[in-house]
Amino acid sequence: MDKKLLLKNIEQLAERGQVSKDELLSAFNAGAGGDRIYELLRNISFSRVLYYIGGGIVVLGIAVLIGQNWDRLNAFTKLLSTLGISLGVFIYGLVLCRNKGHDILGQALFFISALVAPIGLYVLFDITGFNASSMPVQSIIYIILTLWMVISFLKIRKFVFLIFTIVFSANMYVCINFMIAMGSPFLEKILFYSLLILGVSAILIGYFLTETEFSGLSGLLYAVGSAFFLGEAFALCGYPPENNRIWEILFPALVFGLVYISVRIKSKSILIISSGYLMVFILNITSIYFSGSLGWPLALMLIGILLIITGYFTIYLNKKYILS
Amino acid sequence: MKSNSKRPVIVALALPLILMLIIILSIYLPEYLESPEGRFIYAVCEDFNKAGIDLTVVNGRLTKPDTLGAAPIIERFRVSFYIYNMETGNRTNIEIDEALDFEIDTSQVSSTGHKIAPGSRLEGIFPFSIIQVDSTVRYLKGKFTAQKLELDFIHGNTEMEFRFIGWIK
Repeated sequence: MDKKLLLKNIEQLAERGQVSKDELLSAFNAGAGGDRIYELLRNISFSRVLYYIGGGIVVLGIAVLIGQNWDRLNAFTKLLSTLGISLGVFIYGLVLCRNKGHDILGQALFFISALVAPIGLYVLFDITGFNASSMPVQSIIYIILTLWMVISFLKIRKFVFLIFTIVFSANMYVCINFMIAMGSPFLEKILFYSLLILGVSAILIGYFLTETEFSGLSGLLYAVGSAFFLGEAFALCGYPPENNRIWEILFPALVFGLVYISVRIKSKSILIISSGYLMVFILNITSIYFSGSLGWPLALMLIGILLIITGYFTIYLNKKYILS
Repeated sequence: MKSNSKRPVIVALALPLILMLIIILSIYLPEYLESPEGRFIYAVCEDFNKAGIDLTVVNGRLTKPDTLGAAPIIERFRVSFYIYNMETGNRTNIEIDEALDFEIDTSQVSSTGHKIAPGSRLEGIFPFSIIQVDSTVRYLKGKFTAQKLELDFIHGNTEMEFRFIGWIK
C-alpha cells in the first residue's frame, strides 16, 4: 500500500474519531518490535542521563580542584587544567563519535568540553592581561563559544551542540546588549527586556524544532522560553512605589495569550508555567491593591478562590485540549 | 498547528536584533527618542558629608549655607556651583551669589520627564553576576533614554562629591 495513501486514510479516520492515538501507537510498536524497543529506548535514555550527570560532576570536580589550588598554579597549568581539558575532551569526543557504539559517550564528552570551555577562555583572557570581567571581553568569550558550537553542530549535528549553541548565543546576546549600554542606569531593564525577547525566541525555536530530528528539545525550550518570558514580564510590572501600570495591565493578557498558544501547540509545560505565573500575579496584585481596602482576611479568601479557579481551568484545558 | 516553514526561526532571530537596535538608538542617539529641555543647577565639593555643608532651597531659592560664607573656608571643601544646559550638554561654572538668584524647582523629575540618576554596572561573569549601582557616573535619565553627564569630579564618587540642587525655572 502507498505510504501517503495510508497516512491520508489514518488522517480521515482520526478526523471521524474512528481511531485513537493509543491504537495507532500500539500498532506501530507491534510492528517495530513492541516492548523490546521501548525497553531499549528506556535503557539508552537512562544511560544518556547518567553520562550527562557524570559529566556535570566531572566539571564540578575540575572547578573545585582549580578553585582550591588557584594561587599555587602557574599560568600554563591554569590554562592546561581548563581550556586544555576542554579541547582535549572535545577531540576525544570527536574520535568516539566516529564509532556508532560510542556515540552517546562521545556526546557526554562534548557536554563536559562545552561546560569547561567558558572557564578556559576566561582563564586565557585573564592570564594574557585582559580584564576578563569586562563586558567586551565577556562578549568576545561568548562569541567564540557560539561560533565553536555552531560550527560543531553544522559539521557533526549532535543534540548537545544545538543545546550549547542556544545557551551560548543567548549569553552572547545579553553580554553584547550590556556592552552597548555599559554604565547606563537602564542595565536592569535591558536585562529584563533581553530575557523577555529571548523567551519568545526560545518558544519559536522550540516550535520550529517540533518537525525536525531535534524535536526532543522543543519541550525544554517551551518551558524555559515561557518561564523567561513571563518571569521578565512579571519583573517589569515592578513593585510599589515603582510599579508599572502598563505592564500590570498587559501581564494577564500575556498569560492568557500563552495559555492559548499552549493549547494550539499542545504544550503542557507552557500551560503549567502560565498558570503558575497567573497565580503569582493574582497574589501580587491582591496584596498591592486589595489588602488595604478589603483587609487581609477577605483578600486571602479572594486569592484562594482565584487560585482554585486557575487550577481548575489548567486541569480542564490540559485534559480537554492537550492530553486528548 | 504545524511548523512547516522557517518563519519561526527568522522571527526568533529578528526579535533580538530589533531590541538591540532599540538599545543602540536609546544609548547613542537619545535625541531621536526624547530630547531634554532646560537647565539644572548642581554643586560639586570634595566631600559634602565631611564638609557638613547642607544645600537647601527655600521658597524656590537656594539659601546660602553658613559654612560657605564663613571665613576661613577650608580650601579642600570649597563648593563649586554649575549650570548644566540639557539641550547642548554644556556646563558653566557660576559663583554662589549667581546661584542664589535663580528660581529653582527641586522636584526629582524635570518638566520633560528627566531625572539625575547614578549609572549601573555588572559585577562578575555573566550569568553569574549582579547589577550594581555605579556611583562614579551620573546620567540624565528619561523614560527610555539616558545621557551620561560630563561632570568634573575630584575623586569620582558622585555620592560624596555631587549635589543636585534643582531645575532652573
